[in-house]
Amino acid sequence: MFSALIFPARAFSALMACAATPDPIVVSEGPPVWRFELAAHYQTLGVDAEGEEIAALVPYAEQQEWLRGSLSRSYARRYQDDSQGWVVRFGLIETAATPDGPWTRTELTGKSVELRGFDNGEVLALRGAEHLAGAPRFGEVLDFVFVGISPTVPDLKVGESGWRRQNWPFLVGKQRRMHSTLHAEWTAVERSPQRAVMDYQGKLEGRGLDTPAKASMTLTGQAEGQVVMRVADASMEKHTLDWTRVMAIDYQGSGAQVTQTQHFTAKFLRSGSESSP
Amino acid sequence: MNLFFLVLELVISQGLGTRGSVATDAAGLDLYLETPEIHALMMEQLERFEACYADATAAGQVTVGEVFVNFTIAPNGKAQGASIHASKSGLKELDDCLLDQANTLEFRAHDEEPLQVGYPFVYMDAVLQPYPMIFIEERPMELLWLRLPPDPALHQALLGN
Repeated sequence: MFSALIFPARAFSALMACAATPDPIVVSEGPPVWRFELAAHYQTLGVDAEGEEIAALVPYAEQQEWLRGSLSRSYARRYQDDSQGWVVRFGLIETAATPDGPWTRTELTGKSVELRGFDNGEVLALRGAEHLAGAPRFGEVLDFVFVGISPTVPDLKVGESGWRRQNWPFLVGKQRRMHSTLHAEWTAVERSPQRAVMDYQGKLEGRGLDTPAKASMTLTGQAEGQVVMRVADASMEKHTLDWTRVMAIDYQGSGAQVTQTQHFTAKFLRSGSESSP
Repeated sequence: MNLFFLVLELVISQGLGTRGSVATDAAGLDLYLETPEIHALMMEQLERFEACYADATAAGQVTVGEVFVNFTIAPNGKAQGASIHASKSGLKELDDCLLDQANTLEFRAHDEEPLQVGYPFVYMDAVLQPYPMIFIEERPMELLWLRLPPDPALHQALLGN
């Protein structure tokens, strides 16, 4: 049986206990590691202050990439406001221009951030996000991977539905910030003593400011996916997602307006689970 | 190669976070090397660089002015690839000695790519003066939030400068 708490709360509590007081059962597993594969498709359009198409964007109107790699999450500490910090570390991250490769290591490899949040899944901050952002890392575009490994999942019986909102900020220094939200309706579709399968569908929203670029950002989009939770410790075993988000940016300095549609299909699988990603 | 160094922060204005306040973030988790930490180690190790000047003055050579040294801190924390960015010493032996010493510096291992660091050795009044800043090459981040490559034409078209 699931507790009345939502899944991340139990999972995070287990991790916390692991760090604070050694628990032979949890410690023997080590920090959870998820392998992932994702395909990304980007469509970019832009107009200048006169409404003319920006010629410099034309070569990048259509882009595709594939990424694969691993992410681990380790409990780090508890803050005085009762929020907690986890270190999320990127393992070997590889990218390719086709699904069959050739694969090359990306600069995201070995990078880490501290994810600070509450038991209920609310994310307050990503410390160190500036080390992920910008070309060629593009961590600010791939920030959804943090939701990928740590979705906020409600506790539901099969056939029941429930809404959850998940926020995640991405701050690059003090002058560049994006706040994104997933509003999702979750439905429990399957449950056994070992696993619970939950589907979700919802919308993406976000707003941000980039002061050095004199830019304001608006994010919209749709998200759907399926999460498989392990009943024993409420940890996430598998997450498949299909997200489309539209990042619209107004550059006040130039008067340019750019819209990039970012479509991601991804699969996250906890290492040691039965199926491969 | 001419490295364009940007002053990240004045070390003297930096703090490592204040404890005891809910609103204040705690200190970092040592995932990355921070500017004050690099500077603090340089200050600790200043004596070994001063020895280079002592050798030069003992040899009757005049040592004045600034020697700006660049070096790289690898992810394992070891300094390497030290080079002279600019020197007004006029003494190759002195410059080489500073480079040798810089290449033996050891910092903490970190998660960032190799860091390009610059430090000016200023010798004045027969003393190596502790310089209050460290210079770190800033990773360029011009067009965030979009999956676009760094392209000067894009920079011009979108940022307008």
